[in-house]
Amino acid sequence: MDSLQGALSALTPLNLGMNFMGVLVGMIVGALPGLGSVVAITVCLPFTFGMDAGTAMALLLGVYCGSICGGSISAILINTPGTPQSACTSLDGFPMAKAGKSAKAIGWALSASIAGGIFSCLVLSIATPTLAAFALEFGALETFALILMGLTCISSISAGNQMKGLAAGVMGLLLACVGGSPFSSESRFTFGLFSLNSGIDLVPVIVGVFALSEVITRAESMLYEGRVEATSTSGVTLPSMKEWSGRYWLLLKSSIIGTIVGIMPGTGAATASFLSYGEAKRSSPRRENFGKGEPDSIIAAESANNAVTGGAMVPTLALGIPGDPVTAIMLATFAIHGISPGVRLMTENPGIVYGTFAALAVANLLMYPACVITTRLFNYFLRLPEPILMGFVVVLCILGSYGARGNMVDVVVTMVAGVLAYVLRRQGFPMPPIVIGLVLGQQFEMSIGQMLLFKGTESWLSFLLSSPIAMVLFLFSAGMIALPVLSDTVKRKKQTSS
Amino acid sequence: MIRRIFCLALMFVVTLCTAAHAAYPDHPITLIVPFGAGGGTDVPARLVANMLEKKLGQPIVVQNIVGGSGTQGVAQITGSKPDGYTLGYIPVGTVCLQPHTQKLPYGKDSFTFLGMVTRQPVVLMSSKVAPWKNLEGMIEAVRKNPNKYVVAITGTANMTHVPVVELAEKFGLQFRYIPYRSTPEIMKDMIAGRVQLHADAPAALSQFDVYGLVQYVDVPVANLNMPTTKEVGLDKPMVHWQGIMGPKNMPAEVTGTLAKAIEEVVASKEFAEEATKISSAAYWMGPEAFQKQFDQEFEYYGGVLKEMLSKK
Amino acid sequence: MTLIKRNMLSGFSIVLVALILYSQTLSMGDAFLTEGIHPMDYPRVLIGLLAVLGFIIAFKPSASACSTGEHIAPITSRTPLMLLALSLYALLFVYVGFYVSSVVGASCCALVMGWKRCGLLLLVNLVGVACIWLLFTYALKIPLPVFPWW
Repeated sequence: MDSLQGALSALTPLNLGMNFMGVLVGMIVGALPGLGSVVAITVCLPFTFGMDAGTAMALLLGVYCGSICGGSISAILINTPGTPQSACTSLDGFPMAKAGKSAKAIGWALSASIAGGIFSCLVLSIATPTLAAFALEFGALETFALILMGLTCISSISAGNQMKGLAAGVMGLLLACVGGSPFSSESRFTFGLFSLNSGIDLVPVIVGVFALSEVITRAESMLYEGRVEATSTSGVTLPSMKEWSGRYWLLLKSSIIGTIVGIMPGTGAATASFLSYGEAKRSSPRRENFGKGEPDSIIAAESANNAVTGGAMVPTLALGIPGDPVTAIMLATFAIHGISPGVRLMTENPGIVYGTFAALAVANLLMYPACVITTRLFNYFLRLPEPILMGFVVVLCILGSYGARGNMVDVVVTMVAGVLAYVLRRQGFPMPPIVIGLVLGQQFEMSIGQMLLFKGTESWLSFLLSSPIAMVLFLFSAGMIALPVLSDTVKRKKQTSS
Repeated sequence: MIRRIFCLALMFVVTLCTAAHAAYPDHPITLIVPFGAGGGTDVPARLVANMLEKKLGQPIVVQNIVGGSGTQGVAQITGSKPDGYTLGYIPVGTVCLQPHTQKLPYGKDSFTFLGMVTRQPVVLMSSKVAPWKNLEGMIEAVRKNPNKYVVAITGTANMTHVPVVELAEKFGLQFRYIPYRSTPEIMKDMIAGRVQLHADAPAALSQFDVYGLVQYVDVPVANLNMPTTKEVGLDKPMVHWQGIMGPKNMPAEVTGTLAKAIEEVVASKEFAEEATKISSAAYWMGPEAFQKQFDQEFEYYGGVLKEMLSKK
Repeated sequence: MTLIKRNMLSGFSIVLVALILYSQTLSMGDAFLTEGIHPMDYPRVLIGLLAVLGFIIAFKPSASACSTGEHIAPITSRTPLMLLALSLYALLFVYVGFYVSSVVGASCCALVMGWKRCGLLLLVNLVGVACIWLLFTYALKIPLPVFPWW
């Protein structure tokens, strides 16, 4: 009874209103390059002090969902992913927008986001305790296996260009090594600069690699192509049922990937979208069109990254273990309102827990109106003449990467990343692997070290056999590496024989 | 037209410059927090900032400068202008321990102390699935199986590592120390039983399914139901404090205004209540006493770390 | 540049980068160790891998490293100018703070991209930068670095 009342509390006018405000603010902040969920949430944090816990959660959850979806708007319209998790969306979203179908591209992204979010909400409300127990099974070895699987998607993402893709991936992993080592207080590869001690952050690299290098490319290509006509097709066009047919399985699969990645503390939405994008590129029947404006790729990335929201709530609510800074802020909000988070939360306060589930579901639905408004706002911005628009994009890029950590070195990193990415792209290196390497690098090194320490003097065989989950994940990884290579060879044989 | 814009701009600049000489504070103050939003340093910092801005009559902007286990943010504070408009909310580890193990652009003399805000003892926490129920049981089990049980740390030679090393030293215990990226990840492995021990501020006790074995103080703290280190014969109290500091050489009238305002906030009943809600404990200490305690602890941890390093 | 030459160039650049990074790993002798894991072990393995990949890219027949499918426009004088404008912006941002650098940076970018009307550009950028400053300072509560001598 308590739980039903809690769930209904998400539907009071005040909570609905706050939820909508949250989604809108999150979406607008998320659409600004470099600024993501954390900034959006800290902006709203002071307002939550005066609210009751349910209303505060409705606001924060709205911000969370909105900010993850908002990044895709700028990714599609100006090829500048607003957040790391929408980097994949720009790969096909921007080509679609270039072809004059920006409204459709946003429609795909939005509907996939909503579907992914709702799916994860359903999973959350049915199976939270079971999933929390599953999350506890993941120790260092299992985490290592999971990350290894994430890294193998580099192989499928760079199909046809394996070596350069792998080299880019290793560069990403090396970038993640800069700064303090996890196993001592020494710092590495800082070239004597103290500001590099804190490492290379993901945000400036994403902004540099995707947004700035795009600005440099645009400076050239403007001479040959016309401007991108985003204004002529402003708004959001949802895809019809007919267009969806044949893509349901992909949507379900990506949502599952997103939810599972969300459940693991410390992984995050960017990992989910890359994993699911890599999987779609390996298995989609339309994979030949990837990079030319194929909706499948948008679906894979967007449904996965929004499904993370529901997944991330599992350990947060059931165990009191936040998976990322955003859920950590939510737990702190609980604490400020006198509700002690942790293992006892679900039994002691079922009302607030089910209210949270409901608010998350509602936030996903409210993304539609919020997205329409944000896209309209964005279109005013897009009406500026392109050279001036690009000038502002550069300013926002720099500010976004500075604002993420408040570290001046990030400004320089953004520029260097932009220039290097431009050079590497000209040399035919794919960019997503660098980002994947950087996203997963730190945790990868950490899990290798932890695994070795946990293994101790035990033999490898018995250590590996003790974890069935890890063995399954290793098998998957092996498959994901082998399949693209095999299909490449088969194709080449066919070509030579014909 | 252009000339008019230029004139307006000039006037704007002139007004700003003259305004800069009014009584402190006359424009917003930045409070740097060297850890991320929503963490154990950030939440109390925002609480203080929220109450302090009402006392000072100027907004206080909390800025999270993250990286290098807090050293990046502290370096930013010490490098800023000592005009009272850039302050820092600093926890003990970044200023008392890290300077001994890393090359940092700040040291013992880089700060102006304004006041301590919270203070809690280090607590050694144990997983509920570990094969012991109290400190004696733990010591016995570890002696029987050296190098079997795992202590999780968040970084080498920090406040999660040093207290356990001291305890192990005293009782001749051998642990495996495994580093983690964050407290939540440690708690996950403690609940799952992969990690047995972790030392941290007592906040985690009320949030997670773990219990305390021993608290690192001489006089037991209310509401912490466990033996003290003095009782078990380890005379090494260690406390987690957080305080507000500025760069060195701040003018006296500014520090006076600030210290008074901070005292009014931290010593207030509202703040104590809010601090308890977020599992922290308000503790006021004025600038001189704070400086004195810092000097003592800086030397103390310096000695402890030197000993640790020499044994490695 | 032919594909083979291009691959040789990128392959050897990668090997060079690997060598530079490897030299950086040597400076750290005895680290403050935890349980015998040297902080440079993992990067060294990665660097080795990078060097091997560099050699493969340089010497493998070009079939494996075909185009990325991305259309890349040929270089004209705009590219170096754009790179210059961006670097100028970053440097100014670090040394003189947000206002000046952003107006200069945004204007330079627009000029490089072929915008001609300077007066209008300056006005739009001044207004735009002011709006962005308001947005960051008051709505997002992110303090921006202003003039350092302020």
